[in-house]
Amino acid sequence: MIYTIEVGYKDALNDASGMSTKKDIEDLGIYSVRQVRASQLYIIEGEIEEDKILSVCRELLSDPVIQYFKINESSGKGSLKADVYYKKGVTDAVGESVKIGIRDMGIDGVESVRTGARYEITGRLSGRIVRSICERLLANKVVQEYKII
Amino acid sequence: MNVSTIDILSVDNKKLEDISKEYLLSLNLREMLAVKDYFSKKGRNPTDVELETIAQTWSEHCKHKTLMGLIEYSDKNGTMEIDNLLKQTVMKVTRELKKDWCLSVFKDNAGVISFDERFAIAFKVETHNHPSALEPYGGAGTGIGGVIRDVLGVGLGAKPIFNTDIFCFGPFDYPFEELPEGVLHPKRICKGVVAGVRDYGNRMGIPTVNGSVFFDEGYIYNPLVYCGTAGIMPRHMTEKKVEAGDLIVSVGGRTGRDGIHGATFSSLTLDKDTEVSAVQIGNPITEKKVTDTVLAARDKGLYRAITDCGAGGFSSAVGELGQDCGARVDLEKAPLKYEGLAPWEIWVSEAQERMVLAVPKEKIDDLLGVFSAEDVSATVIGEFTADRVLDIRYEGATVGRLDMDFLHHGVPGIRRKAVWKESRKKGKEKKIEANIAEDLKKILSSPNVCSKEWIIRQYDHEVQGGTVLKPLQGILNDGPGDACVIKPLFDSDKGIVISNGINPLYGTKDPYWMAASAIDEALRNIVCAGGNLEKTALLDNFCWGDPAKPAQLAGIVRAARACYDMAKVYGTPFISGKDSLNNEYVNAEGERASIPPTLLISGICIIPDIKKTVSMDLKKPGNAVYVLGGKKNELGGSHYYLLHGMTGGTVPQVEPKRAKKLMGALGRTIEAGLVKSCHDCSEGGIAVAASEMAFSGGLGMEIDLRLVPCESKGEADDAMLLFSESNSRFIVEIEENNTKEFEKVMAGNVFSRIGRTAKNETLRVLGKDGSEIIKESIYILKGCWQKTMKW
Repeated sequence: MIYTIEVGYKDALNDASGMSTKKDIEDLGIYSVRQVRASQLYIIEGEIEEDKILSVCRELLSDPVIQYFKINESSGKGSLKADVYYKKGVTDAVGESVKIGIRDMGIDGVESVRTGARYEITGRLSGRIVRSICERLLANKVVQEYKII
Repeated sequence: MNVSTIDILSVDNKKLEDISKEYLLSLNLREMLAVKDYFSKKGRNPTDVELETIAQTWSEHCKHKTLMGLIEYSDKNGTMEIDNLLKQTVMKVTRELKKDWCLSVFKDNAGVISFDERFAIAFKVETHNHPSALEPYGGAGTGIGGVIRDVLGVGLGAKPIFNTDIFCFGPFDYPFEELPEGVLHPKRICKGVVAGVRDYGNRMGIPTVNGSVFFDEGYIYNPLVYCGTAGIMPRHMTEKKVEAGDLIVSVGGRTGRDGIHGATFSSLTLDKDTEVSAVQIGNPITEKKVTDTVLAARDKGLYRAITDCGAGGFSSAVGELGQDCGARVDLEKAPLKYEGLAPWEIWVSEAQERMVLAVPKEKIDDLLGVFSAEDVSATVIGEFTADRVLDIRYEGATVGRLDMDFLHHGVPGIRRKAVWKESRKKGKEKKIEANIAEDLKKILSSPNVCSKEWIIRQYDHEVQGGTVLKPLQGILNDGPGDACVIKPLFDSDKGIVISNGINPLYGTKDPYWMAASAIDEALRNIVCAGGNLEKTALLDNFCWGDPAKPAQLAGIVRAARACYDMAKVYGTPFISGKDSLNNEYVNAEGERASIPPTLLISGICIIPDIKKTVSMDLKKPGNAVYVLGGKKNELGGSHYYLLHGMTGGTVPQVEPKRAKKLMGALGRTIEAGLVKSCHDCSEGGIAVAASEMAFSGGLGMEIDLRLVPCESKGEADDAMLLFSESNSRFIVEIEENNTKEFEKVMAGNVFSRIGRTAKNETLRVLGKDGSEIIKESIYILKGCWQKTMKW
């Protein structure tokens, strides 16, 4: 079973990473972006039941007061999403820590955890512009790969 | 088994060079011939494991072949031969100064000096340039991670107590259109590097307390990232000794394919196809656990020696520890991140967060117990032997067998030419339309002078609770401190002052004066904060272009000589150093180019009482303001000339004898409690120093340029008096009723009372003719200084 989990800040809250990414995009000379929301992605692979994943999300991956989490859903219309992951073979320190964290919760069966970042970008944008943002800013192709959805 | 034998015995010289290239060995023909010679005596061809071991051990990164080799140096005075430049300069001065508080210098992973009767302090600064150019976040993170392990691996291990970081980047507003393909934008590199240092240092719980950033077009392709760490250790633990029969234990992270060829990679020129497996990503949480458990094992006396797995991985760590005895390694025992690594990959991988220990057999169970209790991996991977042979095995079969003597002493000496030609180019000079107040604002806003608060605030500089004098000072905690002071022990008021000096703008003119200025700047900063030269040690970090180019190498020779000349007079020994050569790149026009010659000097000083330190912000209205040290017409390389596009002029020189006397006197006045605030004059001269003191303290200052001591012949104009960056100068604030006493102690030095502090929150400067040339609100000046890097 593969679970894709998205963890981000609740709408009313300051998303510092998203806001600084927006500024960085402006530094590229692209001014048509209205908002960027940044969230963290975890891809957990293994034989784990859904209710256990739910408690992993609640207790380990998110802070319920300020963050939301979504499992296997990619919502949000009117925006483009760029997902950035480390390439295979590159050390994913956060992923390794999550794996240990899940084990420490007494949950077995995790095979691998990969982490990534999701940038939800709204504004007057084309796929070409978002691709350029990915290549020039969000993903370093030496160690990372990106996907636009 | 995945081991191949490489035929070098039957091939010609051309093919030998090809093999070196194909396997990324970075060995030159003479070195390849030495390898061939060794194996022909053995009557067999080498395995890939053996070739890789030799390449890693002989790399410029590990062996400093150039600076410890033979150099034929010529300048206008003739030609001379220098055998081992480092031994003739930075190491020689330490030997000659004979400071008994230098406990371990130039031999271990870091330099070690005495702190008090119980403790010693280790300090090391490293560079991580090429990885940071490709992947700024991971490169900088593993840079700081690596230097932390250096300190953890010095003697029997020191506990890290603070980090420093100094960066050189391309201009952050460089136009995107002009950026060549495959090169990251300087601003992106800057942000990534800062984030990397931040995340690694903060997560390790080590304060990052001192640093600086320098922007120049010469670093667009090849940024410089210097990371430093200091640690504290019991005095009797500064030496290590491996004994035959000790077990080799690998501790910490697992071994993967990351960072293969880091050591040899650092000797290559960057181009857009540069190999990517050289990039590592760090894991600070693992390193924190390794640090804590290693120190616990150290205090129980469970091992006899320790070193870090840095460049070259196991091959360097085991090779170094076993240098004088011998070692047998069973590679299959090393814990791996994933399957499928060839033996040579396990052996040279530079996977992060690993340490190697030498453990007496009778203590191995206790040792493994300490690590398993904290869930840190610790594995026996071999044994130190007495046969002076490095025996590398995989699943029982020998995959490499090398004599330690050949490995460590078999590298043929390098002989290189260095030719110094004084630049005859009379740089551009022109009459400058003086608009002093506007120029001051522009210099305050310029990238190399402006506030670096955006960076500093991301670092935790308070963790561990010992930061006494912080990087940001003043009533609003946003003024630029000269040096940082750390109080490492709860039960003692003894402290450590840390500073740095770097100014590549002078290096393109004459590396000798660049080095002298950098040393002077590092020492000025130490003295400003309340340190004294008697207990100050220095570290050198050379970053240069290709040393095979005679002009580049001549620059290194000149800088190293300045290190000797200055340190000798100042009485400040060098305790550790590192060189990163081959900082070259292929530019957009397809030409090979070098970075500006860059020498970083780091200073560390032990002070008896942290209560006697001084910050740089003005404290009270109505106090007297003095300038110490004479002004000369040395605008070459200054920010004032840079602002006006001028490249001529004389760069600031240093008169170490006078400077030492002055710094000594200033130190006595600070110790006597006479000095309210003190700031050194560096980038931007008196004008910038006075502005910074005023706006950091929230007070005004009035100065009269007619009172500034000037030592140049001829007319000195207002701009020169304000902006010349002559060395060894300070501005100090003295209470009125202490001025007599202060002047008495300073007698015999060049100094002058130039004005006073004021309540009116205005910087007011009177020019040569007595007219008011600057009258500006300190908040406007502060705004100019802060706006540039409000990212």
